[in-house]
Amino acid sequence: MNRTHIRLIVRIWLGLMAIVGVALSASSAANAQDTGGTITVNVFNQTKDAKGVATKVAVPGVTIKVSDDTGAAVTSGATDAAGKVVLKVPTQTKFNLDLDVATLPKGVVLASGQTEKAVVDFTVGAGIGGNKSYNYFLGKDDRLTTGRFKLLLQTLVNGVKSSAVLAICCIGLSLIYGTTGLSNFAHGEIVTLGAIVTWLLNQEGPKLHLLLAAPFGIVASALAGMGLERGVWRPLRKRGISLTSMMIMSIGIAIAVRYVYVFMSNSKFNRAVYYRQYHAQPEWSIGPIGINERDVIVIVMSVAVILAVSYFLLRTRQGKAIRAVSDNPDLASATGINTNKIILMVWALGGGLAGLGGVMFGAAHGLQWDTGFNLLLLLFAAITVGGLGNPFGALVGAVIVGMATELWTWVFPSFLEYKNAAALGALIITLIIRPQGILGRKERLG
Amino acid sequence: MNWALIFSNGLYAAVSANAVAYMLIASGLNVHFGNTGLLNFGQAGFAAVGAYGIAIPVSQYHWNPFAAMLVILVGAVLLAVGVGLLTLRLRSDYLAIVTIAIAEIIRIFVNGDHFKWLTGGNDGLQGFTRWMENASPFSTNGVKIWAQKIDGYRLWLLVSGWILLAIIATALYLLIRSPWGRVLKGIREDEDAVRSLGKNVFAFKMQSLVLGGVVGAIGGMWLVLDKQSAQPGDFATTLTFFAYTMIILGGVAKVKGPIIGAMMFLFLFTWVDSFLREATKTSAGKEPVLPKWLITDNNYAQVKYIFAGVVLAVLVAFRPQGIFGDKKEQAFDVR
Amino acid sequence: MSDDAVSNYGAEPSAHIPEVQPIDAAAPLSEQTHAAEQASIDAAEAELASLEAIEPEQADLESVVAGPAAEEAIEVEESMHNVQSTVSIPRATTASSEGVFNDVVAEPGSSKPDPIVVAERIRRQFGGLVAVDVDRLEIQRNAITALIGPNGAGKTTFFNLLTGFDQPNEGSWTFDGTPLLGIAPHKVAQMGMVRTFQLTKALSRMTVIENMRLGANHQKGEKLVQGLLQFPWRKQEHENTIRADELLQRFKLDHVRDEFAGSLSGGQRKLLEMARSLMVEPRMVMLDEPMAGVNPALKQSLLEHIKLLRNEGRTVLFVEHDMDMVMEISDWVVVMAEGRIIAEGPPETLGQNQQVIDAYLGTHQGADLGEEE
Repeated sequence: MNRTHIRLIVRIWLGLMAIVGVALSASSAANAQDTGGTITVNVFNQTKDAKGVATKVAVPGVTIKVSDDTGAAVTSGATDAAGKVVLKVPTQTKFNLDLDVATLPKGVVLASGQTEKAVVDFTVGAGIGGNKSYNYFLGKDDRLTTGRFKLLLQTLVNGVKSSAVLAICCIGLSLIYGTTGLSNFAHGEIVTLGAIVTWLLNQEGPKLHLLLAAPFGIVASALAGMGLERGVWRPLRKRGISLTSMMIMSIGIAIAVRYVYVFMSNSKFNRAVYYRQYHAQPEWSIGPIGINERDVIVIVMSVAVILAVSYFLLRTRQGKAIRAVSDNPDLASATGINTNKIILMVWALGGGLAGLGGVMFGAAHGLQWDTGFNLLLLLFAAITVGGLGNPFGALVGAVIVGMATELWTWVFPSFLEYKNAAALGALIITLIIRPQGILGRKERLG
Repeated sequence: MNWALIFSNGLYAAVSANAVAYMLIASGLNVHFGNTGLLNFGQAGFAAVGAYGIAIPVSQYHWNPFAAMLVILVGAVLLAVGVGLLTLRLRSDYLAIVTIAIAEIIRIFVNGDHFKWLTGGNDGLQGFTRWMENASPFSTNGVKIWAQKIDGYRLWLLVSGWILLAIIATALYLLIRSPWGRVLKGIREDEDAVRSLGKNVFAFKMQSLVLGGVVGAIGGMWLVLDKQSAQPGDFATTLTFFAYTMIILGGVAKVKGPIIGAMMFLFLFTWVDSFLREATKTSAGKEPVLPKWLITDNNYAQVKYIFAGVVLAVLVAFRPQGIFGDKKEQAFDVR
Repeated sequence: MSDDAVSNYGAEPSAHIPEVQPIDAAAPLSEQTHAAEQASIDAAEAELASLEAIEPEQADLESVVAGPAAEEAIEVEESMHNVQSTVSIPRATTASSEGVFNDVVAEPGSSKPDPIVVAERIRRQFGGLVAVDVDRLEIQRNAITALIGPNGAGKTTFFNLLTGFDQPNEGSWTFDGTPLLGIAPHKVAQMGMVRTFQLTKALSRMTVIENMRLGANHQKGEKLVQGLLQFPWRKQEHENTIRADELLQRFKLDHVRDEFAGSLSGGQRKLLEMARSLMVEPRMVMLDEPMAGVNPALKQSLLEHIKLLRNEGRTVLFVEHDMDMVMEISDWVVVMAEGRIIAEGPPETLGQNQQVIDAYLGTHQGADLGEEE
């Protein structure tokens, strides 16, 4: 390299510097004079296919409004075919964007987490060439009628699940009422007992599989029912206690037992606890409906048990005796039926079924100290709607109450927490229209 | 073991403003159940009307508290009429379940998020007692009686509560002994007999519901004035069941029944709790009085509820006329 | 009691009253009509004569009732008989129905000269069972009518329908001209038609006197506000108590006045229910099996009380199974079977009525058991 080359390189470098300097100064000069900028807004409809791969589809015709920090409107525009709109703003300061949802096409709403308002602030970053951009993401509208219909099917399936558990629990309650006249307010606690004993064997102690632990829970509940009958109700019946007294006693027993559960478990059951198996279940899709293995087992088992109990009540001698005592205890005993033995059988059956229902409910929703108590009101609603004293009425009532609670969530999805109120409302309405319940019999006077 | 504290806690609980509230709620229920034979299991709903009837207008809308009391009155009457229209045509077995249902529906809606703007939702409402505090002639420091500290506001509520209770109890006493009360007694025995004598049973039952409901609502108001907070959890079915326990304990159908019953129940309830709290306390390295394997300071709180439930069951089985009742006049349905 | 039902009613049988015979379809019509006409003329004459004698005779009644201190049923019976004979009312007067019934046709649904209740086409069905199917019934005022029939005939259901305790599927009836269809039972009672129940409803946990006071009508103290205020009803309560005590004395229950009704015997409870229903000052008293479960000693006094009700000017309709009682005191008998009225007539005629016999004994009562149909 000689002196001429060096002088050439220096001249070129200086020249470049000069150009850059002029350009820079020119651009800043330009900025100083023309402080305006642009905001580019893109609106996309994003869909994910079955594999989770996202595709973006441009959404034209969507109006975006721009206002400044004081709220004064600045400009607005609509997206073009590419889903893009470039909005000019006078200064490079802070602006508010507002997507006019009314201009969204049908079937498209803002994606979850996406709000219609956004802030574009030039002061935190000038953007490239005085342009800042913002992207709006949209998603499918699940509230469409076609979506709604699919949701209805799912709701009906949920209703069946709910009805199944209720039905299992309340057959016993209805039979107890029918044969002894007692409104057993302690039934909820028997439900809880089945769930608890199963839990103890499943999560603690021998850690049996749920399907092995459940029978123990059922037996425990059956024994509890029989114990109550033999140890409490029968001796009192002999002394001639009134039905009202027995009902209030059952309330006292229920309160005591509920808190015993808390006490003995050292408050372990204050929050929901779950079984080791069948808790978190992968959902299968059958057409539009989501269901899992546990639900299928619950429904199938419930139907099987209900059929078995129905057969028992209708076809076997014991079952007929139960129905006879349920209908007219004095007459039944006059025909030679040992009413006390039948009543004991009813408490065993009712208790066992309650325990089974408790396990089923616990498997799906977890169990707590007051699981049974929370169900109790629904159980009473079910047997009252169906007609007090009639076990088949209990089934009808369970279906109605189960369906009513789930349908409520479909009709009023934002009012989920009131679904129990819906069941109770169904109870009141049924009693206004048909005071004896659906399968109940009107009493003759005299 | 601080026996003085245990006993004074119990005694105070038996006569405090809170006790008066329960006496009123139970007295209202006694009109329904004891005097008319109506199995109202929704008395908690009436108490809630009283509670939220004072809390909502005063704390949310800054109403005059006496105007709010009119709201309570109207609300209780409306609820009673509503309950009556729905249930009085039904058999008594159904009455219990439907009244529980109605009370639960009220509680569910009061608890709901959508009504949080009105009822405070699950958190409830506060700040509706200033007017009562201002009315108190006692200094806020209050007094200490035996081992029990009572602040001035609560002392005022206690005194004014007992005066209110005396007035209401006298009115109830006069009513129950009048021909009106006699018809109720007849209805409790046998409605059809009373009908055959020309009395409009439906109207009497309705009046009984209204009377007991209004008294129960006043009790609910006193309850939250004492607690200084109105929360849906306080108006669950447990409240109704405790009221029943108090009525049965003290003697069904007698005006003094709920009053004595509440005193006995609350004394025992609180005594048991205080006793267990003391007996399971571990302080300064000392071992608690009761062995840890039996009960600890973590779970002693449940025992009072267990106790309450057992008392109710045993009472109904073996002494349904209550502690002071007369077996002949045993006002329990011996159907 | 003898078969001659006529003489048992104690009043002087008037010579004009014809021999009571079942209406013989074979006899020429003109004879029957003539006999009937004659009887009714005589009855009217006798009634006229008695109307002038009403007041003193009622006073006699009362003094005799209030007087006797004897508590034996027999003594009461004797004093009652004394009342009848000292007053010497021929039956065809104040409370008599014998003459009144003279031209009434002994057929179901026949019209009565002065009916207090007229019922038409009353039908009550329970599912497939027709419990009551009454074409027409008229109940004569101021008479004792018995409603008899085998079990399940629908008598109590009919009672319930008439008094508003049950609603018919169709039909209508009037009480003293006022239609009662759809009227609530308590209003029916207020109008003056009071019934008792087959299973006595003595209010057990109330005292006898309280039971009675409850029955009193038009009580001001039964209104909520007035009940509270005390003074509006004190005086009325006092008057009612006096009236109650008088009734209790009449029914011989005054010595158990302050006992709980639950501690009374079955018969005493029946008397209480009857006495209590009188506190309502009814114009018509409907007694559902007043003799059921009552011991024989008390039955006689009950009978006399019923007769006294009629003599006071009230109408009595009662259901009974005890045929002796029916024969003894009823002026007219209505027979129901399978929901229908199958016969009506004076009590002595019904023993011969084939339909009545069939209803009670069954249509094959002559056939040998085991005989093929």
